[in-house]
Amino acid sequence: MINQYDACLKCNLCELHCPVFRVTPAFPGPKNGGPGIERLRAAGKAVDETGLDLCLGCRTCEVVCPSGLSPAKLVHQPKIDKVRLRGLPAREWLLAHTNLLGEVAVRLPGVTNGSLGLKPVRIMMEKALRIDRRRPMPRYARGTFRSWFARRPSPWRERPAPNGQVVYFHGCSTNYMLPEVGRQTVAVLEHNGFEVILPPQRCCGLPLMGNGEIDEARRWAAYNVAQLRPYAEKGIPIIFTSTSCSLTVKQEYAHLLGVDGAEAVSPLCYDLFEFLAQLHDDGRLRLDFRPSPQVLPYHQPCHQRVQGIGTPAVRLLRLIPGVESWNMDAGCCGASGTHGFKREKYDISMAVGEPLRAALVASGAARGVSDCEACRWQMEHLTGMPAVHPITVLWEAYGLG
Amino acid sequence: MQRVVVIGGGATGSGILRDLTMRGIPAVLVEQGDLVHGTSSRYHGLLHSGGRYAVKDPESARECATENAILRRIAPFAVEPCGGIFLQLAQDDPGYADRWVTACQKAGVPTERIDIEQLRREEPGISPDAVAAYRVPDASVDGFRLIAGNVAAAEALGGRTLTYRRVTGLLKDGPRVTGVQLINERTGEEETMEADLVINAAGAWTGQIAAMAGIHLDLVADRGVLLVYHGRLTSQVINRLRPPGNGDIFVPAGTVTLLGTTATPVASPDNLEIPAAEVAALLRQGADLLPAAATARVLRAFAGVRPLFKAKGDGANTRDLPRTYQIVDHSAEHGVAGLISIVGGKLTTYREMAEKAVDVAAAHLGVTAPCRTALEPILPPPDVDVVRRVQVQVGAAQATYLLDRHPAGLADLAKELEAPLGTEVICECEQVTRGELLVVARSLPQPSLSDIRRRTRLGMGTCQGAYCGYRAAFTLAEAGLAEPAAAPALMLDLQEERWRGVSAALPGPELRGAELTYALYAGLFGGMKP
Repeated sequence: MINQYDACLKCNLCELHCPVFRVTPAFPGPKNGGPGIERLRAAGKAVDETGLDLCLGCRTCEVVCPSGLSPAKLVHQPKIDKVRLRGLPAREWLLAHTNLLGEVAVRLPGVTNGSLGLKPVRIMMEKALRIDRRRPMPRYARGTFRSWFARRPSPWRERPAPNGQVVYFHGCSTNYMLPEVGRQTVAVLEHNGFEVILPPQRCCGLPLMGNGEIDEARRWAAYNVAQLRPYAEKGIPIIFTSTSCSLTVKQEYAHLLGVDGAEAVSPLCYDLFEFLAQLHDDGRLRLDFRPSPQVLPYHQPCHQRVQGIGTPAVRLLRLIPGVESWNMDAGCCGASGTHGFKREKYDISMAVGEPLRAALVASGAARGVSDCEACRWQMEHLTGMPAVHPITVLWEAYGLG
Repeated sequence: MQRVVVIGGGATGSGILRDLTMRGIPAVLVEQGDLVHGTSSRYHGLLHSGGRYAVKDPESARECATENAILRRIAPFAVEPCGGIFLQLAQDDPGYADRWVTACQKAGVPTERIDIEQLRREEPGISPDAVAAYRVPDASVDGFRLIAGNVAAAEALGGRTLTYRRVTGLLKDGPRVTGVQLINERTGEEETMEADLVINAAGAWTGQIAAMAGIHLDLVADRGVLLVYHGRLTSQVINRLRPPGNGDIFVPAGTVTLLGTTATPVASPDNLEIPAAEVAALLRQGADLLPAAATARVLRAFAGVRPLFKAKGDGANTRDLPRTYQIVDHSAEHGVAGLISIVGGKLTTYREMAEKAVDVAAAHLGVTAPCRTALEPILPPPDVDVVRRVQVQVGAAQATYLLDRHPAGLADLAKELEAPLGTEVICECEQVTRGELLVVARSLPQPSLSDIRRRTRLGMGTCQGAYCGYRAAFTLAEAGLAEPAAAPALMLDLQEERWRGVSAALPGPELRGAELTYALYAGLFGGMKP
């Protein structure tokens, strides 16, 4: 058997780039925590897995590894083994089931948001669940994105859309917390001559995978693949507005989860701005932007970077007359989905995000931009300044509001 | 005055030292390099069940079977009881398997036929051509730990060990050998040492020592090349069920797997060259048993020299020479009193060889105490309190490595780990801490990084000393255990030693690692000749 750890040269590039290793000695790092421990474990020795759990799953190590290894996956494996043996702990279960909680919360957003904002409630949550009280909870919306979409008439009822159809995979946060991102996405796509299709869908499974629950994630993935595959087979592009969802469906369904049919879906998956940038390259993106002088520091989510698609959002934002936008390149924001909520990881999460905070503050901008909702919440928490999805800026510039 | 001088710090010599001191005979051991300088560290690490020799050399097989059981009992700190498999491939002579099973029975080597599908579950890497498999009690044995254990046991009883002392001549009084002439390889000083008896246990160098007394021993230096794989290819020893040949033994040992061996007679025991053709042959033949062996990452190659004893009428092929040993009492055979030589043999049977040699020595010295080396464990169990202190410092998982590596001398280790920065990891690949590095360095006069490497596995893992080499050198300088100005030389000395083995086995992923190391040392540090 060829062992994966054989490929590691101990070159230390991953350690150099690891955002967690930089801020805490408690994390063994991608090199020692991944291929290093894996090799010792193969020797039949007990290995010390303390601190491996601090990995944020940003997968920067995978991006930089010159030997093509994914240290992050090796680091993550013990957690998967543990969950398989003992199941998800209560806190991890809650954080990983955004979709189920969302269904309840959107019916009573006032009560939910109100009580999640109460100090005693947060203290209780911290005591009982070790969810850090300092981390603001995302606010649930009044009604889901899907219910809005179902109520509205499609502009392409009378005649076919000139540019054809696209499938939209909105993800949990858009549906329950940020429906405006979904509405703006639909508006921009329709403005560019596309008909948007919204097949049934479940959570992509990333929060489950991040917490080590692979088997349930695989069931959800299989459901999503079954929904998306018929469109993929017709060559209809599938668009994502959450970079973690796009990464998961594009790569992990086939690789980590090994879901049947995932290979058929993957090539048709596009991060929203990847899709729009391609449209622009083909000369098909409408450029009827209103001038809008503003400074927009952009933060690239780690889960977009690992997709290897460049920074399409910056390219497109710069098409808007008067916009000054650049990739801050300040590393991981530190939130990493559900990690930043955990009591024992909160401080590390904030320390990891420090370079990003400094860059945002130094920009002097009124708001920041990022494609990932978890990154945006962290940006807001780090600085107190608002952060928006790039589609919001495009939607405003098209005058669709 | 010591009554006996033992020449050779390998398995046999250290076994003799322990046996002598247990029988109350004052003794000192001299070794030309570090302990296990020679063949005792330059072999595949296999504790033979005897299966390999059962058909052709039943006497060796019987000795191995007996000693295997004894060593598991007395040296658990050095033995990894991984078990072994003899695997028959479709292209192998099926008749041999039947002869082998019968021969094993006769020699007392336990065998058990196992279902090939069962084995595939245990060892998914075995060849699709495998048709039959037998289980034997093979194991892997760490030569260094075994010898260090013997030496520690002997020292506790008053025995002494002097390393880096090369024998340059024998002191004589007429036809009688009365001691040895030495040169201290570190200081260049010459020394003499008188003794009632000199025991020549110099392994591959035995013939050279005997020649100093004007005695010719018909020995063959038989060089074997071995490969070290970066990780575990198997969990058990895998032998090929056919007459012993090249590239037919895989031995898992700690983090690595060894593939051995070749057999080429050479003129000098110092000839440790690694011909590319032999590396290629090993890769090719190893892949017959484990297909991944052709492409898996090879960390390095090394060579060792078997001291084989050639009796009258033996042919030229060294594979056909017996692996047994002989005790040569030169007073009886050559009229030279005061000198005993041990020729041939193998690490698995070192204890028995030592027992027989010391029996002869004791008779000459008029000592009647019987041999007890098979009855008592070499080392007492580690002190529970010290083990706990080590665990507190590094955690239970890490402590298991340290306990394995330092079965003797744990108390000092605990103290060193408790010092500031004592638990900082210097060698990541093999998990060697600063405390471990320092405790070992303090126990040695003028330690080189290779001396430390043999005792800790520093530099023996993935990066082959690329990162731990400079860290260790500077740590020694910082602790006052080396001159600061000498630190670069320490570092490059380790690198050049590692490079010899790496460069001999460069194909595949290792090449990239080697180039990185080379860039570090040649480019950044401005040293190292490729």
